[in-house]
Amino acid sequence: MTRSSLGRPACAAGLEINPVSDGYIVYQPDRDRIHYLNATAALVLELCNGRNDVNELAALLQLAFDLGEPPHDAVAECLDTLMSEGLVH
Amino acid sequence: MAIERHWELGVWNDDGEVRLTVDGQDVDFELTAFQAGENLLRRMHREALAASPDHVRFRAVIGRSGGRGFLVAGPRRSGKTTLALGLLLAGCEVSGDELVLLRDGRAVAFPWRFIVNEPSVALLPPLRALPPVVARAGALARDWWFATDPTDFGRPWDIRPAAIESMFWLEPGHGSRSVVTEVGKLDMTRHLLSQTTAPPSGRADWLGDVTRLVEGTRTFRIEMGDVASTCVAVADRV
Repeated sequence: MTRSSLGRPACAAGLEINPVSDGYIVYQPDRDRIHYLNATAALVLELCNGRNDVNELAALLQLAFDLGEPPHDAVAECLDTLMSEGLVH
Repeated sequence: MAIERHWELGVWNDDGEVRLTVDGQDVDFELTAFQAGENLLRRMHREALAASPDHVRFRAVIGRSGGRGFLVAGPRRSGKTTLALGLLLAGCEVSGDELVLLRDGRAVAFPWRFIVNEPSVALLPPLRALPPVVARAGALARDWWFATDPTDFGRPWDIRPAAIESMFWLEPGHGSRSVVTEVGKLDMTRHLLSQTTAPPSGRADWLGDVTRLVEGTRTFRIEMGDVASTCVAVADRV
């Protein structure tokens, strides 16, 4: 999956999301797997609501983490991982 | 907890051959006395665990120091039992060294006696000075070991569900003194889950039970050096 094909990603249905102070522990019932998401990945997952495109996600992360510029590459890489794991589609 | 089921376990000695019965039915026979004892304990533990199907199970040490609960998780052979014994000798209350059950944020030791092997005794010489303990030692076909519990140390063996305030992940260290560092909740959860068995009932939200436990505790990683400094490090942080 590449950045251009991501569109407006949405969190997969049925995930059990357990927040901790430095990230999320996500249980994926259909694959019986547990995922450990750091704070950045947790926020990306949270923002994958089907309304934000990749550029908007990067802009939101820039705001959230008070960054000098939108972290386009980091967001794309994170989304690639989340999609390959089936957490986002 | 209410008594939900009752078993009658029997051990019978027929001219030197021992057999085991459950509710009057033979379940094992032609045993030595020692095999019968092991078999009986294994059966009792299996049935007791089966009566707690909703509990998450951790491989961990559990105890209290200054009235505050702590838990020390770690892989096999990381030194949990040695640390548990060291903490007992240092005056902490330790109720379990192997299996901890969790439900709704409260943790309790499964009431197994502590199995102590020779390396632990070598690291904790005061153990040799405990006559009631040494008297129970036995040389078996496998490794040399003995079973003990906190009452052998003059300590209470208080087994009841309680809150946990501090949690430690134990790893072998390479120095003489132990090194303790704070660890994030994500890493602690990952470590703890590597030593966790999900409830057999398959109850939903068991993972939430674990993550809430971790989130509500102070979390540390110990690179274990000598036992004494590890005990001090644990007691100081609890």
